Amino acid sequence: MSVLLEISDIKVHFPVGKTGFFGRPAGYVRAVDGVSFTIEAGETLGLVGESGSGKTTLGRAILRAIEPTSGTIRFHKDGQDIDVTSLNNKQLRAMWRDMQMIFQDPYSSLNPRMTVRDVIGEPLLANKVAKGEELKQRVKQIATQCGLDVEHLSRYPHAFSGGQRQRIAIARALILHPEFIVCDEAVSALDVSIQAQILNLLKELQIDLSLTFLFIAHDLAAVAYVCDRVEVMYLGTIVEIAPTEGLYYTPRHPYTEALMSAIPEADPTKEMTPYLLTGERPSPANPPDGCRFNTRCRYATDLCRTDVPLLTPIASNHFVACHHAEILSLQGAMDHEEVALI
Amino acid sequence: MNDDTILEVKDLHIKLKSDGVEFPIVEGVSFELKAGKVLALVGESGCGKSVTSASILRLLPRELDITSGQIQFRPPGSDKVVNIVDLPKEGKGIRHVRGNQIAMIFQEPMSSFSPLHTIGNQVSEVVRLHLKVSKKEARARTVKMLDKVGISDPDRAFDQYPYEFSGGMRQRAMIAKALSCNPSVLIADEPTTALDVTIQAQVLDLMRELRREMGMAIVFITHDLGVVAQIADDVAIMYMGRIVEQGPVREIFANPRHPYTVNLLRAVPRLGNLRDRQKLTPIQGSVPSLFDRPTGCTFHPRCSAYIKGTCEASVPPMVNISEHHSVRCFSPEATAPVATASEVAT
Repeated sequence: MSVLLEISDIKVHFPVGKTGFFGRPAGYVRAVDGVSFTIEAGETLGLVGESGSGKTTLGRAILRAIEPTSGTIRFHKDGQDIDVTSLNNKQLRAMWRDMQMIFQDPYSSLNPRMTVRDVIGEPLLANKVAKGEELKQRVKQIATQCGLDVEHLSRYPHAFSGGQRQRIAIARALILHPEFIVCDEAVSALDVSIQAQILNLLKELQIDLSLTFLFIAHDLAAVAYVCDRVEVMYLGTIVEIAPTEGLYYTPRHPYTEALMSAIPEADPTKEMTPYLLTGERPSPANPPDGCRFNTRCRYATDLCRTDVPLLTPIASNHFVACHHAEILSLQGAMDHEEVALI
Repeated sequence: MNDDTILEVKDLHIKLKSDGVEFPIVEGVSFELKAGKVLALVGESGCGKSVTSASILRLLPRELDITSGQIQFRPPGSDKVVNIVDLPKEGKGIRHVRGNQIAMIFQEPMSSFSPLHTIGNQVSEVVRLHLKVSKKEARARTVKMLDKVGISDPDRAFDQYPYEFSGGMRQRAMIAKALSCNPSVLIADEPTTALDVTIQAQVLDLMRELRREMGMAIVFITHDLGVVAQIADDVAIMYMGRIVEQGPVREIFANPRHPYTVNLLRAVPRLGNLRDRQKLTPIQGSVPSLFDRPTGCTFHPRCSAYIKGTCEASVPPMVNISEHHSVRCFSPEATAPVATASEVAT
């Protein structure tokens, strides 16, 4: 596999409070604070973490829908190596043909005054790719691929259910044949039965159209189901990144352990024994010194309170930012196969 | 009513009135809540689970009316049974029950607090309304309650405003508010849906502990089957205003009989088998519109076990399969199709 996206040391800081002489901000919320990773072509990379950990900001910063404060994003396409962070507006617009986004709420992401055909076809018009009969054909084709009934294309979004609307949003994101898609909580607003339909659809489309996904979600079970690799964010930094099985069954960061132990398994015979985090999450405007998780970590030592741990490899493809990763033995999610073997 | 039953809903019907036309929202829901037990009402959005729970406190919006049925409530230590449906929608009768004997917590802790009043003010309001104690005593009681739900520095928290609280803290404050009068029944409408998993685990843990300590019964409304498995004793699965299957949690998860329940359990991504990530089995189609209800069994257009000429002709009756397990289906699944890991292991 080849690398599609290279994100290095991305920071997104938002100014808060205007005080001082020239209205200089009183401080900065460090929503994303120095994040580096790569995304392989054709993979689904999961991004999980608590609300406020900076997942959405990071997803948007990669597309430059929010301008990153610093850092670089390199996009590799057909042998070209494009520095996304240095593109001007016009180049960026062209770039967006290859990078698209699917949002959480299909009720507010579709214009209620446009027919579904217009909603799906709009990117073709805006980018002057197709119009007239060709546009109609392309809309039809992608709508069919996304499981929509072509008979219903002249209807308005209100006539569709949540799951159907999400299909419309997916068709719209796919119509320009992008390479890379950020799915920001794309199934969170849907019911279980519909969520399964959309997850299956995303998997099918990925194979058919060789897509690469960044799958942002807080539902850890859904993430496990669709993702090849998963990264965990805490207070604007990545604490662990690993292949899905490794991350879920053998987490190496105490925060990942806490997340895994908190997943309620849909099996009443297994009582969950969550390792409950104590204390409140610190504010990203004023993160603690050292490891950002040290205030809530049960393994924290003095070292954690002073030195920032770096994301380092601990096993093949498994990276973790913890001073004690080598010596800790942490518990992961229940592995049924292993349970069965005992 | 049985001796240990504290709340019993019998054949409840709720209709939506719109432009002089009536649409059924809840059709013949019946369940019993035993003292100290947790009953989960599960279903997809629009199945009537929230409406059913809101009707217990007569909190339905104006367009919705209870057209028939009974909601019987027996306050603990009393032999007198109150039929909540007979109480006037407003007035002393229902106010004595609401918030005092039966309390409710809502999904969105953000919007269920007034931003203009302090947390303490809003939590102690319940105490002062129902217990007729002095302001000072109400404060002491509230601070104790805030402490109990795990809010650090409760004395300071009393004078803080909701915006100063995080989502998890607000949900704790809401639980404190709901529990401050020692209710015998707590209705929890998706109390953890808006929370992160780690906070959800804390809140579930808190609810479990408080239940043990205070012995209250809980009606837990959710769509998350994982949460159901972890907190409930009994479960009722709802689909389009009817309970389609009902029974003890372990029994329903191990041996689901209604095709909807079976499919719902299959549609949940599970963590146990990441090595073998086969496709999820979604339920075909989507929930029909309330204004376009299918005849007979409302699940028949999406059902894999659909029997032509039978399922759309009449509503299947609720049939007892075992002592506590009942199902509303003409062709219930024969065996347990969802194998759990523990079964594989043995």
